[in-house]
Amino acid sequence: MNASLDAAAMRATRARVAPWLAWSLAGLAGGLAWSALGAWAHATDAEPVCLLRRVTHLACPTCGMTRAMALLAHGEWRAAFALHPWAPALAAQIVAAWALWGVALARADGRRLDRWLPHAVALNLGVLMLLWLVRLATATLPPV
Amino acid sequence: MNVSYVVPLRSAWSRMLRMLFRPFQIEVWLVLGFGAFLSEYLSWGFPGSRFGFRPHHRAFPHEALRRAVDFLRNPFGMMLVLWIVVAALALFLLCMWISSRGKFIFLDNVARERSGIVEPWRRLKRLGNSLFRWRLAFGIVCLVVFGAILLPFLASLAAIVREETFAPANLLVLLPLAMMFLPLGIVTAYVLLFLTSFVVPIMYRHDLTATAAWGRFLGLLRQEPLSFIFYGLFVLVLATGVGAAVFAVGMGTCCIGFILLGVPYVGSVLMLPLEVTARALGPEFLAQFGPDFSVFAAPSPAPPAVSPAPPSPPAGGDGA
Repeated sequence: MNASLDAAAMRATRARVAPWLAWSLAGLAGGLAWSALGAWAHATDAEPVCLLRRVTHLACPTCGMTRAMALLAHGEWRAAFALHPWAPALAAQIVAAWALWGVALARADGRRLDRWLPHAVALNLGVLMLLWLVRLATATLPPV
Repeated sequence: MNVSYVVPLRSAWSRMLRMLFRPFQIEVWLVLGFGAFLSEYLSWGFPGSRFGFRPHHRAFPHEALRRAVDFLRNPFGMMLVLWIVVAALALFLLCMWISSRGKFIFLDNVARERSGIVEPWRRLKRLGNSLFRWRLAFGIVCLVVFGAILLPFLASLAAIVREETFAPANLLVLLPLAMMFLPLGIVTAYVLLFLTSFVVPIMYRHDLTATAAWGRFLGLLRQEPLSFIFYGLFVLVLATGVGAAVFAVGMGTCCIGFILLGVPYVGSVLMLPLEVTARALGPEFLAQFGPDFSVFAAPSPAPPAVSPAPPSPPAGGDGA
């Protein structure tokens, strides 16, 4: 009887701790990635990996995003915005999503934030495409 | 009989939307994605070969061949190569065995519109093993047939490799080989398509072995051969369209899309809408031939005899 109660208590503890552990690890991984990007901010002489850019000499909708994030992590907001205008918005979304995840865990009211994920993905893809078309038309895509 | 191709596609698409987006729940994606990974990703044999990534060889074939022969003359080299071949074969068979069971797990999830791995893994053991034995036998038959065709051409092919340059006379060797491989390749592709799309659902529906399910399917194929041949062409057109769309997405994301799709499991989760639709398409098409061929809402094979587990909520899951 006691053994089964102990096992049930352990399962309950694990169920409580696991989401917090996942949240902490996600935050840690994000923080490390952000620091690495900041350190890499001006080491951008590497060959581009973008296939579209290599073949057509045309930047793709996400070209410049990594470099813009790196500049953002280095505190260079204007340069980041010039390289990819959506980078600050995307970074803000990631931070907000992580913070809201933490708030939802603290409240423990069963609210499902993941339901917004498809909408967020669709919105970002739509904005990226629109932005790409506008930048293509105005010749403001990042240099190739 | 009036057979439709669009209606099953529409039904499969609606099923995917219900399962994955109404409502969207991340754990359903993660569990179903694992089912798709077991079923589809491992079917390709070795992880990482899905998108055909191949190392670049800068050495000429004949030079590489000479180096390989030199290496094999060394006893340690021979032992190493033998060990690698045995390990690769064992890994290949393990992947095939897991994916054979995975095919039923993924079908079970799609047919019941739920997500689960552990319980179906135990329940569908017999069907998975039967499918594994059939795939293994079919693979050996293919190897023997293709090998027997290739054998008389081996000396000529080796000469072409040694020559370094391509001469028009080489076409005299390559064309007949291609002409023999093409029809066999088409037949093999159809057998594999029918196996996944129709035979696996028939096995699942009636709790049959692979051979018995093939018997049932061949009866249906004899009645409606054109419907099933056109199904193959329909799938080819769909696959071409999907391939073009995936390529466009990969190109439009600085190749990050390609990298993510190539990562085991992550790629399966990202491709889940397509994987679920593709998994449901064959059974939806088959269901047009009568309730006897419909896996949806059918009793699953070998249900638990005593105290069945309480029904899981539609969006829940028993975890991986």
